[in-house]
Amino acid sequence: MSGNVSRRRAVAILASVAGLPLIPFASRPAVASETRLYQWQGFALGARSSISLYHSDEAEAKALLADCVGEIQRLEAVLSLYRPGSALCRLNAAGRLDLPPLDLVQVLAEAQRYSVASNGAFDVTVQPLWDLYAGHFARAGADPNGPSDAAIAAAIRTIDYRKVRFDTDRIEMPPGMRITLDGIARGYATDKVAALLRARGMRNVLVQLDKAVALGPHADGRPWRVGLANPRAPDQSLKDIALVDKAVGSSGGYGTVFDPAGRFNHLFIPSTGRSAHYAAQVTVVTRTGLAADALSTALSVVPRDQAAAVMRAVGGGTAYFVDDGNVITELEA
Amino acid sequence: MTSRICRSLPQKLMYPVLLTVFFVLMGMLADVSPAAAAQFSAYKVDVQPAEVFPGADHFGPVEGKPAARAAYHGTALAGYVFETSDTGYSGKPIKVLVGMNIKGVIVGAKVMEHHEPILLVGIPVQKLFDFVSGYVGKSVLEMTAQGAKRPVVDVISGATVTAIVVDDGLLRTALQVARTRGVAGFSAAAAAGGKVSLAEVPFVAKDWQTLLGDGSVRRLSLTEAQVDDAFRKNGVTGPDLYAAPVAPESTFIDLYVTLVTPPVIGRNLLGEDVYKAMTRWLEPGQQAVLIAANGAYSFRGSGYVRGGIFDRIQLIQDGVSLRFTDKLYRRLGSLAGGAPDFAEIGLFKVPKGVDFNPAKPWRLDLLVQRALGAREKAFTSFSLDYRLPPAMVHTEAARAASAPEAGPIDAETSGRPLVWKGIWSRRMVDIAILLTALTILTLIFFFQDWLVKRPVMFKRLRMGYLLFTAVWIGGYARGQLSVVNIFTFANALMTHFSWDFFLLEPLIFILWCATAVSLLFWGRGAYCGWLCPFGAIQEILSAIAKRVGLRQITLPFAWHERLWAFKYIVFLALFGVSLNSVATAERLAEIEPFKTVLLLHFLREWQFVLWAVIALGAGLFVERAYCRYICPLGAALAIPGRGRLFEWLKRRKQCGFECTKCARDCMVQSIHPNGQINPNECLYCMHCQVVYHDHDMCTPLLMKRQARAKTAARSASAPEAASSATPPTAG
Repeated sequence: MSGNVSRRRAVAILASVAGLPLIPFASRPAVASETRLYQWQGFALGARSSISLYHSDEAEAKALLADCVGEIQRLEAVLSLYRPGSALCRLNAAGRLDLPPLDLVQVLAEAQRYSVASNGAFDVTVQPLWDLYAGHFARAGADPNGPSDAAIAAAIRTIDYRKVRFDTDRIEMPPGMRITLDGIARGYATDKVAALLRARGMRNVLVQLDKAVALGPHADGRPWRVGLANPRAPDQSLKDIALVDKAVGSSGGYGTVFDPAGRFNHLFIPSTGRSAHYAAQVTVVTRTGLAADALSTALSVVPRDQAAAVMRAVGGGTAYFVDDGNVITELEA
Repeated sequence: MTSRICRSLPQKLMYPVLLTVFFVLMGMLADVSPAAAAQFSAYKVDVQPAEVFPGADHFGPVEGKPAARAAYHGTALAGYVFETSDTGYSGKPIKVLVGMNIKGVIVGAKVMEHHEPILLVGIPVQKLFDFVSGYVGKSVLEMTAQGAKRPVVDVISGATVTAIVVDDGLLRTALQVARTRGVAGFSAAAAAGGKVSLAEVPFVAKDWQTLLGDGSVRRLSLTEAQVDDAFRKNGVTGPDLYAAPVAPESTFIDLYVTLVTPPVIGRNLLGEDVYKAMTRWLEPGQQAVLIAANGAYSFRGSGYVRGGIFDRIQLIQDGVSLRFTDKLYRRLGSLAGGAPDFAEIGLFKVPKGVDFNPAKPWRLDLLVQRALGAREKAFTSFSLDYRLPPAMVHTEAARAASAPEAGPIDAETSGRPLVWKGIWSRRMVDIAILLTALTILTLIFFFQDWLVKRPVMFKRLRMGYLLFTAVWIGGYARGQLSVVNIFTFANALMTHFSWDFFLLEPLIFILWCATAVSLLFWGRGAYCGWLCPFGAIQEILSAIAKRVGLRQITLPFAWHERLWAFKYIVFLALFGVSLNSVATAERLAEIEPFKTVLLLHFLREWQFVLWAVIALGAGLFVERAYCRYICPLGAALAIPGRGRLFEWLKRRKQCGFECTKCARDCMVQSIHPNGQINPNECLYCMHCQVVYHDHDMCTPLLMKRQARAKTAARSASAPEAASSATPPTAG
């Protein structure tokens, strides 16, 4: 069973961005005389990803895209839980990392801010719970009610973001503690790629590593459009969101379901060790990919009445809550 | 003297028998070929992706360029499965399905399809399978690294070109998959173009402004307001955070970065002495970066004070992030070249063992830290791209390293040039030996008149050369030319010709060049008589046969002459077939027993062995019977041989009329009864030239001498004169 549990298999944002032609180069009439859309598609940090940019020079565009892929690769080697030997994996294995890559420090510092803002609901140290649930349901004849209370209690004892001591020279954490950056790393990577392109003078860009960041609109002025996935049929769009110089991120329990009944998903509430069901999906539109990523995760694991406070604490944005009946509630804070 | 065989009845019967044997054999081979064709005409199987990617539980769709399917282990990307398809010797594709993990290690490889004739009949196809499996467990990066042995896997002996083509195709595709998918540590700069290295740039004095202007020095300038904005954008809140007691437009940091190891930059910025000191500090090839800054923010940071760690900067290139410690750092007080004063100047060396290419772009990330209350901190970072001015970068022509979406044209032209260069450099010794041998042969031809006057020495020289040809060229170097080479060449001329393909086999290439030249000079003989291993083997065997007293058969000239034609028919038929299918022609070219004898050492199906034994066996009784009547390669070489430049084989006007000694002694009976040497048949053994100069053998010479002796005796009978002219005995 565990082999089939796919964390984030269904991503909230539709893989094919609405408004993008399927064959990017041929069918679209060019805006400027020879400015064309160039696109890379592939996998990054475990998610189907794409980078779209407008450029007048094909070789330059390809070189830029290649540089972006290089940056993603570099970040995977730092932040990925699935790449053996990554800085994160080394930290998890040893409980300590000297001279950590600065990206890891930066992501942990950001994560800490979201943990503080959500009163600990957002916590990167929940990985032992993931392992517990995945392991539990991987066994034949697993109790459909999930792991035992004792096992959950034991896992909870290892969770506490405040016990991760990090600085630019060293990261340390107690034995048994394990970190996952699944709720934040892709957002960070999206920002980094966008920044790289912005530094190279790109002004019409959509970077989408599960989370999406738009720099400007399309070259012809149309906004980038990103679909808000239907939690019941994640390849259908419930709503199109226009994106210009903004980022969007989504989180939903359907992304990873451990059990056949769908009662347990990867959005853990650290205090109870149980899966959150506050919303079928939370989507956040805000300034950065990291903020959209971390906020959508955080808002999934806090009661609705605390959502606005959490958002305000980290700079605000617009959240779309999709409930089990596919009703969308918008919250601006 | 060999007795002239009289035309007795059984002897008469022999020729039809001989002919019948030929045709029966041809029939047998023709029989084998369709059977083999039915059985093997193409090897084609379905290979499932799981077969070449153990451990993967599902696969994505075929997509991208080059086409590949992603292999997953659970949700994690495990690698890619792709097909490599390269045109082999047959002109048809050799397809291999390959699994490569995200580290670029080949985890599985299986042949899906091939049409290689040599593997269809001859070398067991298992050898190709073994060859292909040899890649499993090997890293693409290591295999394609500069200076790596190629092919990595031992070639299939006898099917070198097939192996090299598979090797080249497999590694090139794997590399492209790795590049385009950004796995195996591939990224940005690697995908962007060819290999880059520091160009040799002569030292020119340049001042700070010039270096800044031409991009040698790069700058990152930030105001307090810009930094505040970055934090704001990250959603960092808090009342104190933006209330720093400085003006928003004041300089947060004004930072300059350069690669300081190239003398044009380093010597100008550091001054002669400091540059020299830095060179001593660095190991050969090690690179150093200079960072200089003014402003409120220090790039060295607090970590440096605490533990010798630079916690605000990291250097990033191609997916590698580098951090610095004080062991990699030297502080400088000032810069030369009219640079402004800086609050902080640091030299940082790139640690050993880090794969840093100074010619490729890199960037410096500057981390900015702000405290939020007692424990919390917020970070943001700024990047400064660094790229040397183009004039300082030497870019090797893009080869296998092509743009991410390399098109088919790329795939066709890239990669191979380097492959053959590597092969040539690895076979330097063999090439040198062959060139020496060819030089010796050239000397033999140029000084033939002098040599043939020394019969014993010449005979030894020739036998020695034939031994070399048989053992070294044929046995060791596998340099037997084949009529198939001609078909491949002709086919290439008609389709898309490229020398690269032919350069894959250096010795064959050189031999063909030599053959082409010798053909122009002397006709077919230089190759057939001296450089053909199979010919040499026949001649050596014949020499042994003669020594043990095996009775030689001399065919009547009329028969002999008509049988000559046979080889031309064989050649024309094969050539005709090759226009349609080189593969079929190659299979039919099994009439050349070369492969059976020299490559497979008779370890083949019985038909082939029988044919080879007959071809060699016939040569024991009729010297070089194969060369005379059957060899399609000989025929192919004979056709243009008419247009040769030189006619160095000497004849006398009496030849053929008063004497037929040479004609009778000619090993291949290439001398017509009228004394004329047929250049299409002559193998240039030069025996007739030995006879020509031999006073004891050449009848006209003998007669002249006898006549002279008689005149001398008759005219004077002077004792001195007689003694000087008297030969020992008249033979």
